[in-house]
Amino acid sequence: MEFLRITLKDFRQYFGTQEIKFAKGSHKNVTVVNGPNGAGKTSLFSAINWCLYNEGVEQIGALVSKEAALEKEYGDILECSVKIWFEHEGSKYVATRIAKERKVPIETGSEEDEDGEEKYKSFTMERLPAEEADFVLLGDVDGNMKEVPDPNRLINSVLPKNARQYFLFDGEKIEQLTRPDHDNEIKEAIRNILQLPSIENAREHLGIVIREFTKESKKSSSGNESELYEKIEKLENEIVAIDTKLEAKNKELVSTRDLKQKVEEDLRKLEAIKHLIARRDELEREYEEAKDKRNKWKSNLRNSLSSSYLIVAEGIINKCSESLKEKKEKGLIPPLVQNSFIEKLLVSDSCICGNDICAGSEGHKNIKMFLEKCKEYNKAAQDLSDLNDDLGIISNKAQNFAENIKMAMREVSCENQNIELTAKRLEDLHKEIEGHKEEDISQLEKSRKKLEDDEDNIRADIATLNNDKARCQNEIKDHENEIEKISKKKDAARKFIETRKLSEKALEVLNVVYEKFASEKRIEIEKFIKKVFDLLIWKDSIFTKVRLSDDYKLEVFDHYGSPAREELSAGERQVLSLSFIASMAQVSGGDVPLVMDTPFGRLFSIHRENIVEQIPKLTKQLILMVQDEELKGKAKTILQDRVGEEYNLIFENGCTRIEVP
Amino acid sequence: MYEQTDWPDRIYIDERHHAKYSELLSKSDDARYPFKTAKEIFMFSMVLGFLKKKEPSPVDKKKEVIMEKYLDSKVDKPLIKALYLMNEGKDDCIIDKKSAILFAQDCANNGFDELYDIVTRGHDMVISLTEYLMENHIEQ
Repeated sequence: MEFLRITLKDFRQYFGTQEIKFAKGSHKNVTVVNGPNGAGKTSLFSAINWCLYNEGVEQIGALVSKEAALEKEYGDILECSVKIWFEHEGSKYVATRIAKERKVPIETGSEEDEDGEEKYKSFTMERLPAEEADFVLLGDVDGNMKEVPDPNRLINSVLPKNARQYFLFDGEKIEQLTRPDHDNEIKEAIRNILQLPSIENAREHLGIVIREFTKESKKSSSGNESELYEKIEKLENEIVAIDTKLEAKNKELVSTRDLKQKVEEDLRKLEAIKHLIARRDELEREYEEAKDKRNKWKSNLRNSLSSSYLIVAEGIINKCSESLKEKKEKGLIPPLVQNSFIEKLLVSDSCICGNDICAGSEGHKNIKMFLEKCKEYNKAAQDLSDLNDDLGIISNKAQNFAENIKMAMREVSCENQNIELTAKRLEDLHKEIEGHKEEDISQLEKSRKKLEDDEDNIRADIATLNNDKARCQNEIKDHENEIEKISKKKDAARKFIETRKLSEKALEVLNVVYEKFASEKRIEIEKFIKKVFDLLIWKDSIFTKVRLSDDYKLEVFDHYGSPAREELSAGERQVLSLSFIASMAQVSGGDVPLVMDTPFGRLFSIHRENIVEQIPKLTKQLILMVQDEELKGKAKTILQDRVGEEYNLIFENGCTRIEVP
Repeated sequence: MYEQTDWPDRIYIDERHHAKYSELLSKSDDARYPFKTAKEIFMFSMVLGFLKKKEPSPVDKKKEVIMEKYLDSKVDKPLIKALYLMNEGKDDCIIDKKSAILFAQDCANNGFDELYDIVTRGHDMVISLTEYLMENHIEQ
């Protein structure tokens, strides 16, 4: 999607019709709109938001230019409009939104004129309710511009409304976005841009459909079936209640963890216990490493256990193998008889002893019977011989599995000891910090420990709830099977079971798709944020790693590997925000323009130069609304090469004029 | 494609064990659960049942548990043959795959409860089974 141009007619301080053409193309894709404070940059930004989404103008007073209303009578209705031309997937569109306002006087007080009438000195504009016809979207159909039937839907598919703040970005908020207390904003942005709420709604609706099926089927059933349906219904309600609790517990977990991190960061700042905190970091690392190693060995152990029945059977295998060898040595398993020799004999009509064995003779019949016996005998002999070979291999395998299990178990026990020892050292360290003479330190440590315990308890609660949920799901399946058995011949009941199972399967698939999609996209966003952050951040920065956690929390690590988002300066936070915004644009398809209102205010000059060099490469179209101070010197020179269109906003006598410099 | 064999294509367990099989397999992706397939449980039960040295208990109500094609031809099938051979004592019985499988089913039926007790005696089934093996079958 690319913006082509915008016209504002009597919109706010833009009196008359004012127009901006946007730069597009692969190289000169930047449009710069320069203007001092109050010149109309934010109004222009609001105009785009308002035109496309009918939002962003709630708190900004009158929309219609007061200059346009000046000569009008009180009670007159005036109009303002914003038109945006854009191109998407080869088609051109024009979005037009108008607003109507009535000119009303403002009472100035008790002053009266000579005739005793009230005297009005000023006026304001009263906005009239919006009508459906106030927004029109025309689209290019076979060379003709025709009205698009569901304009909001099209706009939403091109630039998703719930993620618009990341394409149409207000620079004043840029530094707030990545402040630690704005985690939820980041999380919601990612969820919205990936349309995860839509998938979640689909999952929820499918759950409702399944429950409705149960209700309906219960009505039309009788006896045992009815009881079973009732049990299913109860279990389904139990699952809904568990899900609600799980959601609450997960939220509690996130907030407890956040709070714990906050306390940990506060402790980290205290000089008096710096060495103890460093020691704790080290022990925690050791603890996690030991856990990882233990899990790795346990996984090895589990793999060896899958064929561990061979170990149990080793005694029998060896006994059988010895018995076969003994038989072979004693000649009890004789070598194979050559069937071909007997077959040749049968067609030769004469035995080696000279007797007649022509077809039909007694001798021929006996030899034929002998041949059949030989075939069976040969098969058994072959099987015994193969078995003897196979048992040798199995015995070796059993010994290998036993060795692997021994080794894995030894390592698991060793790591368990390490885990216990490290946990004990951590506990001792906690007591040392808790007993610190400075009351603040002691209190902070107590809070940290309490939050840590709370976190463990919440995790345990979540695990219990998940177990309960799995139990309910298993019980439902058992009851369904029972119903299926009882009502095998009843069409309606069978249909219910089939449809229900199909719905459950769909839900299962949806869950898998959701998890996979969310996880892949999270990794994709993380990679992109990291890539952009590396490009934009000051080269000697100590911040080396950016991570997006499983619950979409953005974290930055310093070169010690410690979380360091708290330590970012305002400028660095802006860089992180920009990395995030650029990633959002990329992940959503990489085909959206980026409109930024005063984005560079607090940036350090090196960051600013990096950004103006890199951002135009990362987005298809960049529209910057900047103050003179924001873009100057080297940054301006770097950007100049990418600027395709440039405008100045001239503010005079309460009105803004758009001019080409 | 699986090759055609003279082994029966389905293997059954007693219906009363089915729920417990499912329970042992319900979290086959959980590191605390030792078994990944029903075949592993079947084979382990079979060996334990054989070692009990008493008359195998025949499968009462049959419930299909695995397809023959999942038996490894170089490990599982020779093991079944060996147990059957040891039990019957006659060499030519080795070609009767159908009877060998019936014998294996009866042994598994006989040994399943013991296996279930072994793995569920602790919180972590992997550790429970390992401890049993270390105590009884693996030389230290």
